[in-house]
Amino acid sequence: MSEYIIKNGFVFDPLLGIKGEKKDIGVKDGKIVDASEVKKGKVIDASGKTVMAGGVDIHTHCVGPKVNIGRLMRPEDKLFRSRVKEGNTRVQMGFAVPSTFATGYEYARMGYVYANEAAMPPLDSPHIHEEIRDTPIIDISAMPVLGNNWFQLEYLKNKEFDNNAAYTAWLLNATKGFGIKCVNPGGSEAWGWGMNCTTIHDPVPYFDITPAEIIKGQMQTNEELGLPHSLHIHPNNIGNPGNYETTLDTLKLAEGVKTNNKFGRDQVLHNTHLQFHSYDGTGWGDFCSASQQVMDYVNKQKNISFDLGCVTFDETTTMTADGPFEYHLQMLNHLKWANSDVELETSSGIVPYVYDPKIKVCDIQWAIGLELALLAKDHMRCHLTTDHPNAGPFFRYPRIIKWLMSKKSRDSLLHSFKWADKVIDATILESLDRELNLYEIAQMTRAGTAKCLGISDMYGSLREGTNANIAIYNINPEDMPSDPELIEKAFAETAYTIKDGVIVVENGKVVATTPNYTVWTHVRVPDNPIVDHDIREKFAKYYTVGLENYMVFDEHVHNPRAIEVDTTA
Amino acid sequence: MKSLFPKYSKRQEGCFTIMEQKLLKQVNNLILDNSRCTGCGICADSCPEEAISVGPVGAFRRGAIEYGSAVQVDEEKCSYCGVCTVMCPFNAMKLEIDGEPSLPIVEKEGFPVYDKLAEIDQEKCVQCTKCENVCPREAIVREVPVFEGTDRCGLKKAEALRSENEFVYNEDKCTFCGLCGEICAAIDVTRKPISAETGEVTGEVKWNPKLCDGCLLCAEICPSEAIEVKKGKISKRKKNKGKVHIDKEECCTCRWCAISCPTQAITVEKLFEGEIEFHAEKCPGGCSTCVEVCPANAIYVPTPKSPADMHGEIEPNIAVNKEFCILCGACVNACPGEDIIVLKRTGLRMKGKEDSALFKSVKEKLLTSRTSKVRESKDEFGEVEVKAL
Repeated sequence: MSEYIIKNGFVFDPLLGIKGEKKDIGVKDGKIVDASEVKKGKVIDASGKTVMAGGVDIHTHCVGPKVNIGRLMRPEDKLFRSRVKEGNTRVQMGFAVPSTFATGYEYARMGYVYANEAAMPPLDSPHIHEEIRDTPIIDISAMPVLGNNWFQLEYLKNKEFDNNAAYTAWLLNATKGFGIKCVNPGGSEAWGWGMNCTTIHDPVPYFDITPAEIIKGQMQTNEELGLPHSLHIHPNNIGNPGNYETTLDTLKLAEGVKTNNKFGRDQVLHNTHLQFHSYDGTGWGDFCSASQQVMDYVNKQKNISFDLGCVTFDETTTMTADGPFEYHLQMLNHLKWANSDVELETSSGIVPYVYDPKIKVCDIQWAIGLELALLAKDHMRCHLTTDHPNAGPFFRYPRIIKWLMSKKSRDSLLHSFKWADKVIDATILESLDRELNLYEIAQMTRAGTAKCLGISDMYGSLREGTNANIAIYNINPEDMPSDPELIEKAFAETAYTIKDGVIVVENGKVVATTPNYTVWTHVRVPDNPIVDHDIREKFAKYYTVGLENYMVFDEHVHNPRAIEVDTTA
Repeated sequence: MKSLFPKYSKRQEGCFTIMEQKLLKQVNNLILDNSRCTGCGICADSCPEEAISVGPVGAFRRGAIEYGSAVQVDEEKCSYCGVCTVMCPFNAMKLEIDGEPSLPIVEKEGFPVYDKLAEIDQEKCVQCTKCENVCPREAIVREVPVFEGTDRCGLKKAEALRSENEFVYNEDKCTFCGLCGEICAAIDVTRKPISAETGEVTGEVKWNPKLCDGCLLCAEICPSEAIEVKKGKISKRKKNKGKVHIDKEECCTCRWCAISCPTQAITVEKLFEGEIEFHAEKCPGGCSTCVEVCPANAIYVPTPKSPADMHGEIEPNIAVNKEFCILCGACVNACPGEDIIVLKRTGLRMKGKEDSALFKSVKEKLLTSRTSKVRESKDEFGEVEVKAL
């Protein structure tokens, strides 16, 4: 394999504590090595450029059944909004919900090498793995959704934590999943009957367990197994004014819970797309930001992390395993609505949504997302996401970076709004002068996310010996551009993206692809005859598929890269 | 050589299966009315000759098979004694001798009959429609005139009331326009023949108090405000001609009518005493044969609760309302499961001589507790075999 030496770049690696030092990086046989080891390699001149590890996205909906329903139900998403084919690439279709090829290329152009698919219905896991195979360049992991799973509702209701752990381990192995995702705990199951759980104390119909019990039980299971990532939660009552109280109730469940893992993860609970959960007010009339209340709490607690879910002002498609929320959204905007209830497991919904800067509510949502990042004290626990494509497509990350790094760009947008005065009154964004620096951006996009996912030994750093995943941006930390648009451009099109030692993007153009991997968690647990029996019984009685066909076949998993967890030792 | 007599035959005429024994001078017929037969098997238990067997009760009662019947009688084994006719609670068996209904065994007081109590107290009955509606056996005979509410040609609604309305019309104001008569059956406007001599239209407005329900529409509609109606007292609904009674032959003593009667005018006593138990946890669900065969509509599939009210409990697959069960046993015969329904009869309401050896043996069989069975013996293929407990 080829060798490179990346010379004279400004290196940002929060996992190694490197803050923009001029440093050479060597690449040999696909791994990062000390620059002195590279003797005859090609020299990449990174002078005046920023060098970071390949980006790691902690929360995105980029593969799977609901993503595909989103593609199918919105052919208009492709019309006039697809990228022109470049060089040797496959056709790239779609804007808000891009095709698999477009997804992989687009991430690579931004310097990302890893994406964590946020919601995999376990029954549909083969679909996820099929799409991972067709997504070029980036490595992908997928989290099975568990907050509304019948096995788990029963085990947690009966306080059978060992059984729940054994079941969770079995499910991760069966679906080749990565960690425990929990969407609207109990509420998505209630939606099976057209109902919902809007607080953490609303009992789930029939199962008679509360979301609070589910969340606590799942955290306990997660730490009992010692999974690389923590419980990844989308709390109840998403998207409603006044919901920050439910969010705080949810986050408080982590108090006193200790981590148990060998992957360097510090948190026990990751609250995803916190923007949608930081709303104050009683209705859309007096709707306002609760970012201050939420961040006051989050900054104090060390064992929770979150990602933003920033609104990007696009015509996008919302898709979530929160069935009742999507129905609610459709009743609000009267656009097309798709719904899929998955037997014994979860639900989902898909509705197009237009975040229009002329609408006060959208503007406040935009401001809240940025406020959360600007109020955060520790950006290792605050990650950049758009809940792609819910708050906006992922390729707007550079735009969010621009807003976070430049008050000038934020303010000019804020003052251009039709209802600027009302938006300013309802938010605190105008009063925030903070501009994030490149080190913090690196924390939010690679170091923090990798650490939080428990994969910081493999991704998110330029540590010698790890796979050479490197992004080189056309931005000079010693001479930051005065025009904020240049920040966006720099992060949208890398000078170079290197994936596993192969240059895949050069000057913003995809020049090559390299095999991507499926990252999953292989958990060994002691034999549990009760759970084996329960699984067989439920499949015989309730599932429409056979147990043997439910588990993803080994040959169906594309380039598996298993993280080993052994609780039997 | 086989003798010609007695000559046996069996034939089907409409819903009747007719068993025949022809002697030289006499013809005996046992007639099974398949439209009334419920497959309860009481006839089979009662038959002194063991000539009757129970067949595919569920399939037959659901109309899934057109041939055959819920019970079969072997016309050659049958002695045409008439015990089955006496014991059938559903009036489905008839014995005819030379074409005439006849029950020598009862006439000669050789066998008791059911002491069926099913009466309506005409003093208390308000002739409502509930009993007719709830009766599962069409045993309620409601011979009451119909009203316009159910039949346009029926009696006018005012005829259901005793009213003391007063109708006054002011002849001076009246223009004989005829509007009031057009809208109301109680008013009749008759005009005198018109003549150019007077050039006036005059006549008479007649009012029939029996048809007036005091609605006051005539007064409202009168263009010249010539009508005044004084609404008098409306006393309680008056009873009309006719009556509601129970056809004892058809009544199965389920007590649906007695329990539903709004004025407690009905007295019904059940034919059998005893207990029925449903072990719903053994019911596979999705069958509901017992519900469909039950002649008293006593069995039901419990309605699922709203999920928010379930609290981890799923409704049972099957249940019985013991108030209505008559302990006939059709459900046990029809159930394809095992040990789900347990029937225990402890007594029979009879009148007449109960001390004959024949009746005692019949009673003993009927009081044998029973439940259904899955694997029945092979040699009685086509017949129901229950498990005696």
